[in-house]
Amino acid sequence: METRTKAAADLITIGHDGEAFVLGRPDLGVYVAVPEPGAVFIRELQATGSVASATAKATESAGADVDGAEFLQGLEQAGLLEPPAGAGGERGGIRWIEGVSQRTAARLFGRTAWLLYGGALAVVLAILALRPDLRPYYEHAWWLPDPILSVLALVPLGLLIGGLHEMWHWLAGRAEGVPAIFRVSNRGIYVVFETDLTQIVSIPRRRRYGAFLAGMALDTVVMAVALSLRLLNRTQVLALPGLLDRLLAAVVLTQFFAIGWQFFAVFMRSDMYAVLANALRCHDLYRATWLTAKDRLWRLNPEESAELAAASERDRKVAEWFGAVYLAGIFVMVWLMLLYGLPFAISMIVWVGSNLVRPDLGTWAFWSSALVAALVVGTRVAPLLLAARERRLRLRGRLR
Amino acid sequence: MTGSVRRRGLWRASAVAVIVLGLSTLAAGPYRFVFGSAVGSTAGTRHAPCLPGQEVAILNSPHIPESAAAGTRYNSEPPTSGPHFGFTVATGVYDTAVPPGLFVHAMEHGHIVIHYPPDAPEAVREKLRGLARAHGADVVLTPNAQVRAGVVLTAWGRMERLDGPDEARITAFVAKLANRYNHGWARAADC
Repeated sequence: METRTKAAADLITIGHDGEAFVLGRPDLGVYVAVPEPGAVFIRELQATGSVASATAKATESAGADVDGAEFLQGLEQAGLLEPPAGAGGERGGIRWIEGVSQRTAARLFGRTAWLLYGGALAVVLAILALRPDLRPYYEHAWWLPDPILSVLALVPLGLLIGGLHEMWHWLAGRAEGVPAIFRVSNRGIYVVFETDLTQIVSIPRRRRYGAFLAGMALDTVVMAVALSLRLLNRTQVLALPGLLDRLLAAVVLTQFFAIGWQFFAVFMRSDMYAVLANALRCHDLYRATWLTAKDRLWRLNPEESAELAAASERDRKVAEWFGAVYLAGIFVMVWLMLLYGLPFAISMIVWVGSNLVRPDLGTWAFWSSALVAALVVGTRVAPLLLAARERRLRLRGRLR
Repeated sequence: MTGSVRRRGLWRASAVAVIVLGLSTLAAGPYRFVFGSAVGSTAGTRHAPCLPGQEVAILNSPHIPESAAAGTRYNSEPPTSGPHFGFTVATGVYDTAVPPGLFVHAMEHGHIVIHYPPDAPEAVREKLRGLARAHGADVVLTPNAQVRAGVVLTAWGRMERLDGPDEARITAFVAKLANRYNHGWARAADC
């Protein structure tokens, strides 16, 4: 019995999270917060395999009697003593990436590496500040003399950089010994990269920043390289082909937007949200902030009231003012949309619309415009129409 | 209860005020640019004898589809204003001809277009490429089959013909005329 318990306990990770300790089974994605004696109990069990010894240590730590058997029963009910999940789990992790050792990953996030990331940030800020002519501009998206080809050609590059961004999160987690999962999947017709970093709660907060900042660090390096090459070309040190220089301008634009999103879209759980929530020692600040804002501006239903009441005191306290951070982030993102997204979107709509209204069936402009219109209708408008129809039927009682 | 309702009312009023104020401030800046992106330009000709090159009357400049491009007539060759496509091109060096529907739009955004004959000697092209790289944020460099000889510089409502890649005159043209117009005249006065 004790052998089986010890084998299961050996799979449990122990993390320190403010006042509580987090016991985790990263292979199952199960985490439970316990007071310090609970962590002492597991450590002793892992060391000696003796429930009696673990109970004695926990009792000593608590200063009161601890029922070791009852504690183990609680862990069993929480799923922490389940048999190990199969390698890779059921979530479709990518084996070749997940085979990267912690030591190898750590090389990308050591002191020297972070100095390089910091240097890349300094290069980006210096070039943007001192060379206004190299700042990103929305028309850089049209780096080819065809707007649709320009965007289509950027898709594989965007996927590559987006994949690297997520991979860097994953590698930084790996460097800290967090068994994160990196996977490629799809949402509708779109390819998406995801990094599951939920296991990061099992390491101390001060060690989590690397994993949260890694994606933006990679984005900054890409932007620094693109900007530096453009600067060398502009100052005649290099003579890049015109096509490559314009492609680099498009890369700078997309990276500027990607970094801006991760930095300011705190209200959408961006990377900077994770950094701030960690620094503020919160657990689910995102939910607590939205519920607090809804309570102030509208009202909460009973389930939401219960959810807010169940949030940690720290989360509720920070959420009282964190809405202002959300608002600031929303303003910055609206400003970016007005300066970059809206003119681009309007121009594309005008181009596609005019080619469809006055069609010339023998041209690429017509067929590419028709393709874009079909994609937009299929992926954006159709779901809205279906949702509206569903709502109408529900209101009439024909759909439950 | 009353206190709670009043507090909620205050929160709502504050939120609406902050959002309206913020969005108004944000939208006040780029509104002309966004509006221009949708409909094109309507500003009239502006006389500026102190500027390099010759003045060219400004045409009505709506957005057109590609099917209308072949039938579009301009008042100069190369054009300096007039109907154009709804999107533009990034500034930089192009080795193949950029169509008028695109480079006119680039000029509408305040950029300079440098045209050269497709059969121009490599030395001329190289010199122009170097100049275009140096002014990369302002210049579109393109071969243009309708330019038979020399080099032609165009900006919105302005043109200068050169015998060759005259660095001083090209630099002066870019310095004086880049960003003079951007869906409307950008400066209070030119001279």
